Amino acid sequence: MTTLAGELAPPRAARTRVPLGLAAGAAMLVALLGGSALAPVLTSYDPYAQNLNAMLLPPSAAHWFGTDNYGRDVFTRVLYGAAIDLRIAVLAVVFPFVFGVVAGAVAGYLGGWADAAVMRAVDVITAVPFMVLVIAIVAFLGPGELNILVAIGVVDWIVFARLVRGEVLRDKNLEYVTALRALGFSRARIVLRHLLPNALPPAAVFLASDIVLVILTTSTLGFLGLGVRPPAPEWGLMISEGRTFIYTGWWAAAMPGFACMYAGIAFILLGDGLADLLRVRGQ
Amino acid sequence: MLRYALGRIGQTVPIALLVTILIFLLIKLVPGDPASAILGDRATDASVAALRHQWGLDRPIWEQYAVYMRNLATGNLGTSLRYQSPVADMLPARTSVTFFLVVYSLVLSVAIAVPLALVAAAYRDRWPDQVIRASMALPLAAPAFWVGILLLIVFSLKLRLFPADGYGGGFADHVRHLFLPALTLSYAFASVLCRNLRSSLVDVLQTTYVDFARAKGLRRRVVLFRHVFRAALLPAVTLIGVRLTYAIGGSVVIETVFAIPGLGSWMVDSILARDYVVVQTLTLMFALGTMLINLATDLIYPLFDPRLRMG
Repeated sequence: MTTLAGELAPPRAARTRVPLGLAAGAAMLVALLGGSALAPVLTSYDPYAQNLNAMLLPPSAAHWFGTDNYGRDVFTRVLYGAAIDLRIAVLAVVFPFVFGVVAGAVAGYLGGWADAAVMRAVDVITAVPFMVLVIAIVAFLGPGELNILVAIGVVDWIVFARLVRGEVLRDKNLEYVTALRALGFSRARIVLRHLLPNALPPAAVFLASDIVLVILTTSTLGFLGLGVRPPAPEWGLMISEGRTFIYTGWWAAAMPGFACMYAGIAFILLGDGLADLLRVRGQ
Repeated sequence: MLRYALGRIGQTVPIALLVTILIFLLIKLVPGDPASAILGDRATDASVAALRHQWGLDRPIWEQYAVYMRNLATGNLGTSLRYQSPVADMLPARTSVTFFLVVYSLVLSVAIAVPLALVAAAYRDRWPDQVIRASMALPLAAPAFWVGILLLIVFSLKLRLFPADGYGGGFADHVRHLFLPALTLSYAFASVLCRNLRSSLVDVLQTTYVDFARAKGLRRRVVLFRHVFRAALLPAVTLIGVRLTYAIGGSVVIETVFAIPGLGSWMVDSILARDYVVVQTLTLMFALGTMLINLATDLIYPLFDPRLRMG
């Protein structure tokens, strides 16, 4: 069987080729992060300084994305905003990912009351629409970056738990796991060293689309006035502030949305590319 | 079938009870004392104590929950501090607006997704398919409220085709007023539905009975509609249920963008006014709606798929 697979396997060069989507997504992200980090060098404007002589100027060579109602350069604010939105997006998925993976693995492997407890928690959180529950939690905790992380942490882990539980349930009665049990390996070792590595790739692929969801959630909270506080150049907040002036200056609301979409597409490409890559490795 | 239905309904009841506990506990998240947070500047020791007593905050937590549940059971959904009126009185009108919006968005999604999926599957891997798949991936990365604002700018402010806000009076007027909001809500759904439908269409196209239908000399279009499309619709039923619950969540922000007097904009208004009781009740309403949709999807599915009909 192994010889046959070995003979059929494509040449090494083809196997280790990086999928196009992964490269494109990574390049888009590097450009955005680089632009954000180098923002003080790239633009001569201050993201916070108001200039009442330059209010709502249309896009031009001096102001690529125009200016907002306080005369602030929208391009500069979008670049600085990338640091806020991407930081929240990446930080917010850490806890849900780790907790969800562990809870799902434990529930799937142990079964019984552990499985029942995890799955009831999953059912309860599933019963409230994602956006409603996140908004409700932030509503009671109060606005701010930390509270966004808490709200997403409470709600978002269930997807990873469900995913990993399914993978572990499928694998736990396979021969190699039975063999490990017969060898007397501890349950912790079987789960951590043998079952989790197989269950992680699908969770990692999903992580990319989850980051997109978190970016959209963060900007939605900012838009509703429940997220990051002004005058921070958070994208959703910028759209909310620009919205009042769509008659006279559509760009102030439109441009941050394009930034949001750009970041989202980068992560979607990254996820699709990662899925391709892991599927190739898995065969 | 009856046993399956009863069993499925039986599973929902304990979950619904757990959901009430979760939502009851939300008020405990308020930093410090909710009573003084709500009263703000007007807070005096006496007024805080009075409000705490009125809400039962001076009693043990399990007793508070018991009171909360008794109130729910008797239809007492709390009083809006902002409007000084019972939440239950305002609920029906607001609910019907959100219901209209969500169903409208569902209709639009299907109208967008089905033709596109048929074209994509029929021209699999050729340019129409590539274009449709690429353009359907874009909406997933765009914030819904932003798309709503863009639609407002183009169709309402520039072209003056649709009203910019409100709900209107009468069915035809609702349809006109809610077109842009429903379209905004539907695009993400349409995108997912289109992808899903395309891949199941492609799967069905590869089955032998489709080969046979073609071999009989049936026309391409006949095979596609009579044989392929009907079989491919099945997985879409579950998906529609799932996405309906997403649309409920999305309505919160879309109603705010278009100033529609539904449950979602009421929730946002209440959050900004610290009208905690209303926020709690509305969260519960959204949860009940979601649970009902999930239940309905599971009960309807066997009717569509004869293989799943249980004895």
